[in-house]
Amino acid sequence: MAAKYYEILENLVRDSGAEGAVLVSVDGLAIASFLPQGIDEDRVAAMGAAILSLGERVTAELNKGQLEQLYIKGSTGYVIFTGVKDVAVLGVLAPPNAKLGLLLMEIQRAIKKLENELG
Amino acid sequence: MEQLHLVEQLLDKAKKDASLYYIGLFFKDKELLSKTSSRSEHLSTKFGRLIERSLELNDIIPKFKEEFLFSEGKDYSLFVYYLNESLSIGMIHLGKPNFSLLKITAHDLYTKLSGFIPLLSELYNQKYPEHVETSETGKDKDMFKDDVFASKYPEEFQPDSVAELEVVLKTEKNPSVEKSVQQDAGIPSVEEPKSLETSLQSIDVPSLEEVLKGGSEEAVRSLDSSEKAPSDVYEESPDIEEGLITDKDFNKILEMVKLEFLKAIGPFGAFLFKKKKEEFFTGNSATKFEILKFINLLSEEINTPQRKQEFIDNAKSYLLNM
Repeated sequence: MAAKYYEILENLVRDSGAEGAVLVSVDGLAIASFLPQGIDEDRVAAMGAAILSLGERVTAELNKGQLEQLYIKGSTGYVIFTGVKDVAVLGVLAPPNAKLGLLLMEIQRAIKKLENELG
Repeated sequence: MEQLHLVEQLLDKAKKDASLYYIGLFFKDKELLSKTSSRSEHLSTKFGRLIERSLELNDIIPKFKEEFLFSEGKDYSLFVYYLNESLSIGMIHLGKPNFSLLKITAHDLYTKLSGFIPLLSELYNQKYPEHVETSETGKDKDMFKDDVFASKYPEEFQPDSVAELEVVLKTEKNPSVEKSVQQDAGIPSVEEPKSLETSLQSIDVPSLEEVLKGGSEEAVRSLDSSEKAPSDVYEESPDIEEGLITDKDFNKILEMVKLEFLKAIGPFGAFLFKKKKEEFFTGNSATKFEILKFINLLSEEINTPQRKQEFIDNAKSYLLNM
């Protein structure tokens, strides 16, 4: 099972030009990851779960339902967190020159595959 | 108050131009000012927590340095524009998402707000004094490195004449200082630095450098009189150009001055310090005299007299120990 998740993440990174990806439970625990060296998997995992959860609290205040995706741009690239149903969060790291449109498309493809696997 | 009103007007304008539901200025998770159509008391708190969490990326990914955060749904968008590692503009738009408009609005507001940073610092200190106190005790290790607080400096190297030097360095004219300087034979006014230095070099007294290095006790004692006129400080420092501090030492002393400044003014001081430093220093070296002038320049940003004096005393103590 873990190998399947890893394969999906690896394909996502390869096909989209991303730098890394991590699949996280809603509790902030890593399920699978394909991250560059020097990045703390546990911290990214915890942060991904927390930030989507906090974002959802804001949208709840606005009566706008679930927050599905959020991305942050920094000088070294993008970090994109996307909800996978209600059970997991997909985090993707991408370089600053990444084609965001392509990246978001590939993320949606990966999400569908992950949703099938997670059941 | 007038400046605060101006900032509020800027927020109002941005809110109207982009048809925003909410716009707020945040320091980390703390809302400083906002304009909103919301009746919810919790919106700013929750938005602040989201912003604070997003700032942790700087710890996880080296040199990440957030620029903006964006999230959209069918009929809403959240946008956060980071002015620096602590200050940000948070915006919420209801309706069809328009990322470009939000980004342009935020950037436009940022350029207009850059002149109001000291005001925002003051506002933060007023609204959240408990957080300023925490920083000052050095307990908040996320804000400050703690190794500087562990350093001790000898108490004897705190001559009162350094405070008098500060009086002379102030840009506004002090008639009594000018008079005492001009009355001394041949010493020109402080507005003629070149001729001042030439005159001082001919005077045979312990140099300021010797005193600052803690050379002779006599030299320290000779300056240790609060009744000396500021002109005496100039007389006793003929070799102003000596004592050039370069590279590693220069960065080290400035880092210590910065930490003292942050203690005095709050976390906003980091942004202000960087701005003042870039305006004042052209390279990676300076004389001790120039650094003293820089310390005085920074002290003018501190409104509370007690904190101002503490900052001056502490910052100059580091310089004396170089």
